[in-house]
Amino acid sequence: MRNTFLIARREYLAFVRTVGFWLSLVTLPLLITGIILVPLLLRQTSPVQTLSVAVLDLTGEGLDGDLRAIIRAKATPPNPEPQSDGMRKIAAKIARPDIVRLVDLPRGLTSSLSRAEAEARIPALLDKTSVGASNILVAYNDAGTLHFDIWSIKSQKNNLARIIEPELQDVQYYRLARAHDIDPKLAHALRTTQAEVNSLTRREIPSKAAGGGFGAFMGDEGPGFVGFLIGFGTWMTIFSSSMILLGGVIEEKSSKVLEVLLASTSTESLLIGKVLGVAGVLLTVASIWSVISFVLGTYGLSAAPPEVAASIKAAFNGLFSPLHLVLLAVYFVCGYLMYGVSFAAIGAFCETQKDAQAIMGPVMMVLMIPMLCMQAALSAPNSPIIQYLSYVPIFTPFLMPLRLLNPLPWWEIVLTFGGMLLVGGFMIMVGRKAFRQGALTGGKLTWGTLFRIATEKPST
Amino acid sequence: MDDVALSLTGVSKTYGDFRAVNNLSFAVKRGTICGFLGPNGAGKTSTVRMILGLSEPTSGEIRVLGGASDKVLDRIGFMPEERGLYRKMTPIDVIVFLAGLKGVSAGVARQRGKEMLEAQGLGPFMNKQIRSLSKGMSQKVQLISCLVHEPELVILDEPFSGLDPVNQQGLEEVIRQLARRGATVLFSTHVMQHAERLCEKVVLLAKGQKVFEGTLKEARSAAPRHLDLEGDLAESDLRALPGIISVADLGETEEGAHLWRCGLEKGRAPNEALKAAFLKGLDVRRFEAREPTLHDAFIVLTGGDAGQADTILSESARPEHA
Repeated sequence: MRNTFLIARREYLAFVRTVGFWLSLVTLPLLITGIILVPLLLRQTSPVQTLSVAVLDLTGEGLDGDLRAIIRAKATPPNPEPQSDGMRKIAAKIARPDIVRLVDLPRGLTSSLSRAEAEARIPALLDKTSVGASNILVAYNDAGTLHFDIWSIKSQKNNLARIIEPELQDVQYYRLARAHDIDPKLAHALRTTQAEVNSLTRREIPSKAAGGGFGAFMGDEGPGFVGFLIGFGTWMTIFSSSMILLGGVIEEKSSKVLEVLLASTSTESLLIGKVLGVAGVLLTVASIWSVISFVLGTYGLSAAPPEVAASIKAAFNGLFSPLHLVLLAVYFVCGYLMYGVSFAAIGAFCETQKDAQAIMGPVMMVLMIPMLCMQAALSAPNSPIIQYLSYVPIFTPFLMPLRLLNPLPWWEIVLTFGGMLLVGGFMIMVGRKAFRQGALTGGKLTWGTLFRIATEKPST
Repeated sequence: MDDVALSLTGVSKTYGDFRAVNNLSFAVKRGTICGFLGPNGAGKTSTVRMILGLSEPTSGEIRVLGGASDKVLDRIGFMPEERGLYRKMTPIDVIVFLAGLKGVSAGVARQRGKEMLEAQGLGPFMNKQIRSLSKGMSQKVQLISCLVHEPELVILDEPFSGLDPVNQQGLEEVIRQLARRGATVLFSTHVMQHAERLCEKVVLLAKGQKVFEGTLKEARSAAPRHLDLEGDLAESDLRALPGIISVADLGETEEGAHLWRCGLEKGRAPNEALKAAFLKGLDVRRFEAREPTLHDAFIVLTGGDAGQADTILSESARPEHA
């Protein structure tokens, strides 16, 4: 036990003392933060656009007043809510809208022009800064349908369209209602009334109470989505930690340290110590990333509208029960031990990374199977293929988290645990012997070697 | 307390069809230095690994310090033939780590390690990474790692390889000190001179089998004494001398005379043959009665295998091995 601890500690320190560890530790959070923050910062630092809008009504239907009223309405935005805390102030700053301003038509443009004449003059007018209009809204009638062309200077392309498109659609709608003598109140009611359509499952009832929106999404899709994330995270974690173990053992084999270690302690201590040492590295990474995620998440929630924040909190609160967390942890630990011991044993047969690559090829092909299944499992976590593959012990740690957040019969959980314990025990037994044999010989790992190792009588 | 530190009884080891060690039995008394000799492929490393419990014997029994080796690992010090240390660790950290695996507390290991490193002239290097040390320095660190827990049985596999003559001498002194402290030392080597200087007992192995076990004196007595004769001599005249059983031509000397090595029959004195040579009036210009060396004994005990003899001869002629 003492030796296991000493070996685990050495492995841990050997890894965390490297510059590469700290670089990889901070790279991912920095990358994610950068992906989120850089566009926001760019948005924040870019100047607020002032959209000077002139209206040219070529419809001959007298829509000029309505259109100017729309622009005028957009020119006086409602008073923004006073923001008390820092993050909301930042969010409000980042989300600041463009300023809309109604201006007179530039000289040379009148409603008496034909569409072709107007279109011939507008580009030249927009190029002149003295004109004062950076956007010209042109309305015309083509075969009974209203058309709105928004001419803009290049830096403001699409800005005005994004702001006034719904109102322009309203103009078309009310124009048609007037043409058919529909009572304006009825027309307004028809325009604004919508039936509420909900797609519900049994699981969505509590999430509706959480406020719909994100809560509804999490209630219905959340278990699959979070399960996918956990399964993927498990795969990535087990794979990367196994590669660390593999690399560590190869280094020890090539530098001839393994024989000294085996003459000082038992194979079990050595193997388990190594696996635990790398687990310690993982825990360190996970802890630091968790703290960063918690801090960013807390600030993120504080920036979100209160109802959205409440909805997110409610959705996550209902997703994991303590039992779920325990089961997820046990699946992960079993998978980690199973693969960690196997990869360490493989490493004992390799003098160089090249040797390891030759062995890892087939192993990786097998490991890709659950990865390929995970995407399909996202939409149908309990489809027969996912269900049966999750019973295969080497795939269980990756696929069961996907299925676990949906209701499962107990016998499946017992069956998969039993399978993993059985195969895990077998892998540890074979891995222990293979590790010792690989460490002390220059032999290559072959199926014949593995068979001999698995079938030879246990050493005393 | 059992007087025997190490005993092997009828130990064999096979790898598939290959028998690396065949029915090997020997014992080493506590507090003695035993040389474990044999050419490459003789089965030395396989035997050492079985003694350490790194591999199981196919048959036979091994007792180390009164029990099975896996129960007494803390009391054994081992330096393998292929040296290996963590290249990115410092000497003192490696020593403390390996001593920890042998049950020594970090504080004690650090103190002892510092003292031993300083005694070996490695004080200024104790906090530098091992990859920055020379091969000889690394080997000293490895030796210290193997001894820092004050083991009762020390197994050294080719300990002198890679050391210059000064450090070889230093290591010989370390081994003698270990024995004086009461530790048992088993070391394998190709170099017969080291064994002759250090060992009270030797075990000779060839092709997986023990060919000799006993004291140095007993080993030497297995080989014939020689009489070297220099002069203008004919081989047939030499063969006719009393007690001479073999004659080897060693070539011309710098003075232009011929040198012959005559093997003496067991129990016969060289002066008998010399007297006869002078009486016959043979042209003997110089003579030397030569006591057998361990190397001579090895050749005899291994059946005079020319290939093995050449290997040993060439190895023992070198002051240092790569």
